[in-house]
Amino acid sequence: MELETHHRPEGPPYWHSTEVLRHVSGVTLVALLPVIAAGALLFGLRTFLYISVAIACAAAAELFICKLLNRRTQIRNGHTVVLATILALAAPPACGIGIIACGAVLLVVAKQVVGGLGHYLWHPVLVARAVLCFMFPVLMVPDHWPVLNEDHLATGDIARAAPRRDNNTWFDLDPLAENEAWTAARPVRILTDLYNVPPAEAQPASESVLRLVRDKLPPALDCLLGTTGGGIGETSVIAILLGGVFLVYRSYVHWTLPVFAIVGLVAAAAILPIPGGPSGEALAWWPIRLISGNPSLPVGFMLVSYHLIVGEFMFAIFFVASDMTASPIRTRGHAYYGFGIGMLTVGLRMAGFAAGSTYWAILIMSTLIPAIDRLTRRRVYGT
Amino acid sequence: MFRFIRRGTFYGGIFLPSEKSSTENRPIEPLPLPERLYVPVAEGAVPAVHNGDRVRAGQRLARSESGYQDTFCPVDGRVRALAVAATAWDDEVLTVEIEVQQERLTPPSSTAASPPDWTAIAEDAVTQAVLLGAGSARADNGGLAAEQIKQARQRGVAHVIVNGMESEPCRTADHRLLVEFGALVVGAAHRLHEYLDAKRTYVAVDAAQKELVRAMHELARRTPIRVVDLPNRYPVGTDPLLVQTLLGREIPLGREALDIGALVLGVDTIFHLGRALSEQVPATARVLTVAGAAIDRPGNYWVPNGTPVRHVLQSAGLKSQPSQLIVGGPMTGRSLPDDDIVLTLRCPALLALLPQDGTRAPSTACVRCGWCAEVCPMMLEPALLLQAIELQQERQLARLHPGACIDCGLCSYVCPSSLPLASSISDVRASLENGTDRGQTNGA
Repeated sequence: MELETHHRPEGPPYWHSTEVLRHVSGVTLVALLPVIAAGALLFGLRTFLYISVAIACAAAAELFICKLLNRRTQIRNGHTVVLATILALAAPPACGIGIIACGAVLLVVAKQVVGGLGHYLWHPVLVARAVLCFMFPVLMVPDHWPVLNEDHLATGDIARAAPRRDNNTWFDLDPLAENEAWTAARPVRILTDLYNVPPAEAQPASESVLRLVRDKLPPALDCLLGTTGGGIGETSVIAILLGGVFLVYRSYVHWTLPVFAIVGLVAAAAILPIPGGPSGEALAWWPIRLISGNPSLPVGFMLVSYHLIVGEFMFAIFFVASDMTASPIRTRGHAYYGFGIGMLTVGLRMAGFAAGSTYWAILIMSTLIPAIDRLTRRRVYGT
Repeated sequence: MFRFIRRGTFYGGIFLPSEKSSTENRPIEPLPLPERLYVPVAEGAVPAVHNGDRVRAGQRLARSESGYQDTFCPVDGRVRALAVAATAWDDEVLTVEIEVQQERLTPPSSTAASPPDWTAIAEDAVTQAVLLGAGSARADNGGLAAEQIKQARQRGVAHVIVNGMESEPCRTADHRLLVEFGALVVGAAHRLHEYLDAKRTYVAVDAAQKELVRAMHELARRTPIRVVDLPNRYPVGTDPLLVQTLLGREIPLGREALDIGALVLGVDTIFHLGRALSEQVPATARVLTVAGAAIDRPGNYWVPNGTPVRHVLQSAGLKSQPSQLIVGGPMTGRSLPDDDIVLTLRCPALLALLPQDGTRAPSTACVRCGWCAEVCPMMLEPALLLQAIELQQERQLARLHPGACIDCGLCSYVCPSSLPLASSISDVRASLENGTDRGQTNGA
């Protein structure tokens, strides 16, 4: 009997897990579904338009650049599709498809110029976003951010918007108003202002936090559901947690990264000082107040909680920081990386960077990835 | 008496799909004998027979200088020639070609193979049995079990571990030996325990096999043997990880289990030793798991040393054309170029796979997912190792200690980019071992 078998002289193993990159991308897209749904609900059907434009432009750009560089395209592994979706979800709802298309091309350039998947140091979406922020600051970082009216959820057009007072809860707004959407400042902008009051207007720190939470920031429920201003996929913390926990469950995001990012952010927000006026104390150290029994404790806790749920923090740690290539290689490195992102986010917010503070924090921490990898070298068994 | 046994764990590893269901409940069966056997002669051993000699089962075919690598004849027959044949591990091996003149070879019966009192066997008889049983059977890792036992007796070991984990998928030979010859294995281990004057002897059994665990506990009740059921997280059934799990001790790089006072032996070695103790027969045949989607009658067969693969495939029947032939498990075995290969006592399984099993996508660039480092039980960095190998960074390579690799293959298994991690590391390790003495580089 003659047998024609496929000999594999390279040696064992002859079995392979069927999990390839395509599956990782697919599962990440599934995890993004609740975020996309929340975006469509809160900002209208243009969410889908943005995502399709981003994917189409990114795919076309990838095919073109690979042809140009004479490189084998890897479009089938779906990584570029995931990146394009993340780009669209991180974009301001009113930015327009021109910006999205431009960003999609930029992200493919940022990915392919350094050698493609596996070679880049900075997350391509963040590079594209950074470039867009410099090129189109008005469109990328507007002062007023829309969110749809209660009666026009999913169907309304955010272009027909009217301004609202900042601290109104979205549920109290008039659903029968003629405008289809309301605009307001982003909560993260308001939070950032706390750290950047002119000295003349400064009050005792406990007082200023109290005023901030009571008079300026929207209610926490708004921030959790996402009915505040922000990027399409960034506002709804609940939808992000749904998808993010699924990713952690599938172990495509190691739990240490989001957990330590949250720990870092909480630690920094709780410990770092809040500037006070000449009349009051200069620092409002939350843990010290806790020990001394000062009644301002709930306000301190609220401040930390708001840091967690405003802005792009949650979206960024689950879907952007977890990119395989632009994150440290070891689990212990993920902990350092996440912790640094959390700390830097608060640091940047204190310095006045409201727009995309976590994105900038990730870019800075990405730069340190080689150092983190070097730092977290493990002892090989038996040595 | 129920004894609590503290057990540890090890880093990394994966619960692989076991794929044992097709053969694990099939008793050990005889296989029709082939017309010719090609009994391999160990390197350095001198054939003790000539062309045309009549040989009987159990007769010495080749004599080695040390006495630890003698070869014995599995069947009655006539020596036809001294031929060169290929085994799964070596392309060219000197074999004794034997024309079989025996109808059939029945597997040992589980009821008969139980001597009255194991502890009554004399010391000299044990020494003799070690040469007969463990000497001719090569342990799974390629080390010579008899020599290890001799060294263990000279240097003294505190712990003897009988490795019944069989953590690799598809393999069920050791499992069947424990199920059918549990008493023999426990008895032989008991005698070996006293022979080596060990402090403890463990029998590690897969915790998922509840009935087997219970039966083994029952058998080991009045003996100093401790049956330990471990979760079968691959690759727990390798020497360093068993030592780590059971004793909580690490084997330093470049050393072996004996250096820290532990002796790890496979179930098949103990089984052969037990038969040599009770019936004074050498190891000349073994249990072979024949499985895979292309096999018509998968099972555990009693196969004499030197049986050609072609004969086993014919006897077990092929449903369809296999795409791949593997000797040993799918994670650590060897792929065969054709069926013109001779099975030895080192081969625990023969797998004939169909195209849909174990196919592999073409390699793409590393995406730095870190999965390989996460599963590596030796805490190596396979991705960085591959990079250092490809870029020929000698210093970086030395820092990453490729010598610690135990060839479990998990890095290649999980790699989403299908990179040849395990094979590259194993190649570079082989070249490093040939170039420099491992122990010395480690000590320096």
